Amino acid sequence: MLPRPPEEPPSWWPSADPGPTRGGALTARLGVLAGSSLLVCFVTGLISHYLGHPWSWLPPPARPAWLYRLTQGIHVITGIATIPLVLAKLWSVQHRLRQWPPARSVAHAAERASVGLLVAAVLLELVTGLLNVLQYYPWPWDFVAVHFATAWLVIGSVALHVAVQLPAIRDGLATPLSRRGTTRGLSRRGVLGSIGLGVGTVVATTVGQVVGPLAPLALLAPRRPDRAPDQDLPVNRTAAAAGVGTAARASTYRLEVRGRTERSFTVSELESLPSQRRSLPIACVEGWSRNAHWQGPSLLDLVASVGGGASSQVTVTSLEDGPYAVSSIRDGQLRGALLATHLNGQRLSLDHGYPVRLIAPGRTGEQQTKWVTRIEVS
Amino acid sequence: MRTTRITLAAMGISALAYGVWRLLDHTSAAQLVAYAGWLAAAVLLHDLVLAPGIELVGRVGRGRPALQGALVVAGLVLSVGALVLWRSTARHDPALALLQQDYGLHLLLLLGLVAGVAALTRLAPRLRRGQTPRLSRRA
Repeated sequence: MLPRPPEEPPSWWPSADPGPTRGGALTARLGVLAGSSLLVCFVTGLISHYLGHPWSWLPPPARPAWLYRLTQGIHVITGIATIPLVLAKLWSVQHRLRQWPPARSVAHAAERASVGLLVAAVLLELVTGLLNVLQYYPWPWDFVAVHFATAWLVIGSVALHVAVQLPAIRDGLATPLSRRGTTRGLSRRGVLGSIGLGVGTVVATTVGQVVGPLAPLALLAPRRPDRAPDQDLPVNRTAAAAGVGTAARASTYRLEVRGRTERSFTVSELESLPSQRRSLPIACVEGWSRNAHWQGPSLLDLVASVGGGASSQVTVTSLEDGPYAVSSIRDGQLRGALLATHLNGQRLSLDHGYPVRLIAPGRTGEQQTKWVTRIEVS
Repeated sequence: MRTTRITLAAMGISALAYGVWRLLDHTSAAQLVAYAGWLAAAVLLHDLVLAPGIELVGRVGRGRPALQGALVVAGLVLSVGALVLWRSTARHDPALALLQQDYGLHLLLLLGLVAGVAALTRLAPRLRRGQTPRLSRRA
């Protein structure tokens, strides 16, 4: 049992008056919008996560080649749009923070604590997600692992919140939104419209980093893939940042291909191999993407030259160390893969992965291994 | 409705349990403490700084619908725009095409547009009634 609080709040307790605009009709609609946006963000995030970390028994698809571009683009843009949506939803109920008594019963206290967890998890997830897009990591944990775990906390606490509030949500949605302004300002419909305009502006000014034709509107987009200075395509990690500048240009560079037999190629040998052309997007975890024209020897031909084939499991290793050093490729993605020597009609630049980089359909940007030096076929 | 609520609650609790397990499985004790600190900071910053701030700004627009609407739109645009502007002050290699835009100018443009639209919605009914502002009548 909780100690029984006095009937009336103490004189210093702030008023819990919702004001003229707040109310169930507005909150329920904002809740549906924010909840739907979180659900889309969650589902696209799960698909993207699978494409980046596929299970061994289910090879990631190679078609459509733009699948990750789509899921991660939607994930990042809905995530960004959810920030203003969630803030608006929280505004619509923030007078309840000052409710008296703070807890009527143990169950009520538990419910308020679960709302606290929901708010904390949602804000943390959205803000760290945006900071990741901005390449800023001021926290001591692994972003991907914790972003993934927090996503489950968010979606779980949203489901629980909806379960608790379902009668109120139904009532709210059944109540028409008043058009009439109050003596103190905007009508509820006007508030919802303004929130829609605010969220719409955020979407319209960021979506151009995924949808090329909307790039001229992308005033707030963190990336402008259409304005990349190097071969008309952004890089996410320069050769200098990866520490590979010297090794990639060294005359001792060789590409080793190991299967049942072993072969080794110099840069000029790689350049003289029969080459193919493909048009494939680079799509990054930060949500930006851009299509490009690639040219180079087929990876499958190289794999076949050491006794492998389309059913082989292939591991591609970079000159760089760290988390992006190695990636594996198989099935449809392997059949569609090039070891690119050229990008958009020019010899691949150092920052784009000179001498050769992997490019294949449906892969995440970080799996398109750059500065490739070893290929192992098993 | 009862079945829906029970199903939703069960799904929610399962997802929460999975999230907690993933978190414990992928973080050290020190990282967990930092994570709990971030969670608490998120709620406290919102409830004690952001929410009262919004209430205060809201008072400015009381009784003026066009101004209220403009404040809502501007605040929501800034909720993302301010973070982007802040990070754009850090140096990024131009090859990344990351945060290379003049976000300060772009935000000013957007906020100016919001103010302009709000002013128009305020003036439009008067213009329609023929109560043109004095300046344009003279011209």
